[in-house]
Amino acid sequence: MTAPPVRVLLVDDSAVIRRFVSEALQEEPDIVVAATASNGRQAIERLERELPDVVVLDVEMPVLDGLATLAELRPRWPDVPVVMYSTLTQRGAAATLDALSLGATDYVLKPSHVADRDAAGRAVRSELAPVVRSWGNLHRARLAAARPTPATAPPARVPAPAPTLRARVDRSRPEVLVIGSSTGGPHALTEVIPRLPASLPVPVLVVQHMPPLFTKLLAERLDARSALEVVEVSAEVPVVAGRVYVASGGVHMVARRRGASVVVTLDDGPPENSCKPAVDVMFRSAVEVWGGRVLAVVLTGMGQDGLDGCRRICEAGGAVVAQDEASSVVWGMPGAVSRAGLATEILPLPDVAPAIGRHLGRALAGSPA
Amino acid sequence: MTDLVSNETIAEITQTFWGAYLPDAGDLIPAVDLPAIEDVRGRVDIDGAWTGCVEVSCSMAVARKIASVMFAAEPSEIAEADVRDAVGELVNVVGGNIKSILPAPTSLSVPILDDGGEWRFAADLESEVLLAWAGEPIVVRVWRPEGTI
Repeated sequence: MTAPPVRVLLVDDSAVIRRFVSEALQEEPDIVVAATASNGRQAIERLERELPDVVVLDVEMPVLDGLATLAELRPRWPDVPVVMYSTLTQRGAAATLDALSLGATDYVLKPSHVADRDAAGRAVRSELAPVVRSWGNLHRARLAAARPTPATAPPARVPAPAPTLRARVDRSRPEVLVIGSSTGGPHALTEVIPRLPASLPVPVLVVQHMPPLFTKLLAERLDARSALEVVEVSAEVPVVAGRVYVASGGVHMVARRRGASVVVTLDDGPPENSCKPAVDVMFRSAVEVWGGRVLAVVLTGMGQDGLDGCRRICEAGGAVVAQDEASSVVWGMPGAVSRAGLATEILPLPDVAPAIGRHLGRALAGSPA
Repeated sequence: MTDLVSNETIAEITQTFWGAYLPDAGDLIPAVDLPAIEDVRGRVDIDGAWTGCVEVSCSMAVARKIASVMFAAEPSEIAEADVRDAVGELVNVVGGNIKSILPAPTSLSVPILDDGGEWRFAADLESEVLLAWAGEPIVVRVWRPEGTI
């Protein structure tokens, strides 16, 4: 039996955007725009009536804007996926990061020029539709899993397999911490990086899948909250302990040895796993520089970027911490690493920073003993 | 308004809308001595640190042509709802962009369209910009509450 199409509530004050996005999404056989709204107030009313699988939400709107709408809808509909439909501008990037911290599930960039209808339609079908489809199907699966039936008990979570690639664990302390994240990552990173002490004895390299403007703002926000200095890497810089290097959007970040020192630099190679920057590229470069003295953390994210890099880290004797399913917005990347038996530990998000402390041989401030 | 947003800025904002939404449909240029035809009018209200409204008006023929280009449809296929959406979009974007350069915080109303009734509101005219598209007039006005100018 064919599953019913994913039902979307499309919220945007622009009649043009509502029209061409609706038309483009309606071309997808498994997606239907169940309702549209031109502002957040209408959206709240239509959410009650339509109970959509996914909400696509504009940021700037009259009456009730995207951020105020999120603040109103999240207490009532904590689980419905909300995809911010954002512009690649300074203001759009800042509002999107605010929205992600307020509980937005994901974001997609609007086509930059709506006047070219064919190009804009293609962008909707290639960029927005897959995200809507993924979240809609995931939301339904979660609802179905949470709904016990008299005949069957709720499905138990499948326990993650025990690590199997641990033959050559390097017992010496890590010399670098590498972190990969994607969907849900901006929020997860704010639960990890600010809990690391200023005295952290290793450098931290972070790849978060995001466009350039967004990664810069993300680094600035993490820096403002953290004891560690957090910088976006836009050119080659030496790597020093106690500093966090966030990969810039649109280009890979790699570690390289330069004589006696180590740098992080940019690599304009092809995308991997459709990602640029890619977690795999950065993780592999870390193994080339530090061998098995790498501690990797794989946080929430769709897809499986990081899997290959974690395999190399494990083969070299490094350790991998994966975020657990329950605390992940989507258990794609950490799930892939866990299912492959590569995770040394699979932990809820609040336990990730303390685990980093354990691996580095020191307790972190505010961490459980 | 002269101190905050000049007539040149209002014209630029409106021309930017044309470039983004109606490219290849002819330029929008400043006009003088062109008799305004105002069959269709829309406005957005701005409230907060700056209070007033932005109004755009044009002839029905121009409004239908805007809708036709905006929605990539033949003029014969354009319904009244399309005209309302198109003029609403125009005034929403122009008003929103004017709002963005005014003192914050302010809120923007949904577009209010002339429904054929008496189109009056208690306000004083602060700015008026006359533009021409293919020889047809389009007027953008900024109004302030009575007595605030």
